Amino acid sequence: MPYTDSITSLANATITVTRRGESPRVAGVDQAPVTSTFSLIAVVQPATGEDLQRLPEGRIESKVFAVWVLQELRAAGPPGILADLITWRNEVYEVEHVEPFIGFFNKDHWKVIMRGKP
Amino acid sequence: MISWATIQTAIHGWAVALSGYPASQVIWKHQNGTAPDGDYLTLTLGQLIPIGMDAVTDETNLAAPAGQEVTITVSGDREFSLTVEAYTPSTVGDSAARAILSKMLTRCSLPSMLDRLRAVDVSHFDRGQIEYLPEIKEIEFQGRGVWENRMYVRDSDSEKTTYIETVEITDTSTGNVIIVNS
Repeated sequence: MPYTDSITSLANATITVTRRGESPRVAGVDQAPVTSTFSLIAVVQPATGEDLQRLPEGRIESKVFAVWVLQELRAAGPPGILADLITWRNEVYEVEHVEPFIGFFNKDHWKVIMRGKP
Repeated sequence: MISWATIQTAIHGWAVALSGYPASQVIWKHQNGTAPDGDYLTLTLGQLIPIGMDAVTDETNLAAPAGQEVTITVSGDREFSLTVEAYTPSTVGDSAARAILSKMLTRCSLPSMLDRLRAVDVSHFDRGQIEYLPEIKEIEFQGRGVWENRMYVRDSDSEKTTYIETVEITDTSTGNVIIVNS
């Protein structure tokens, strides 16, 4: 199995990603974000102890998984960028951390740490 | 009944007018969105204190629909706190958080600024004071200031009820019916 096909071949899940675009606030109050959804095949695995250490203090909990995908996902970032939400096995998770592997073995891929959304 | 949404909108407009910032740079705190870029203010409504006893009054209107002739109203004054926090990349000069809050503190006594709060029956009775607390954000200092304010507002609520028009007293010993105030 070539390395470039490893995520496709080893995929154990189809996840649904909800991308959220922040809407302008009204009188300083957040408005519901504009959303779009798409599906991805992914490798979902339990997070390792090392993965957990990547999370900020106070956001470490047991419902944390590592996900490998072939498309970039977004963690919360600069103003206007809300984290992507991932629906997997009927539960909703939030993208907490993204590691891009660009050009590795001629196959761009991303490792994502997702955390259960309260 | 008081509408905090209306009061918040008025306070937001007041803070925008005081600071001179665009409306998008003044936000209510403790929301899940991302903070604005550059200079911005956050607003927080805090402690709510009832002042003294609430008054209970009633008003009778016999023309009202049956069963709703009497309106009972409870009303009372409330004191609440408003915390304004300024965050600025600059830590010195006229753009720093301390200078912005200083400008707001002085401007808030202008009649046009007071009118913005009077329009929603809010009285800004305590201008408080400003604390200046620059902090390191990531790799550089950020100007941070806090301005505590206290305000009064009146809250009330009411309910409808009816009145006793007729009382019948039955003398069970004799079977006579006596009608009082008919």
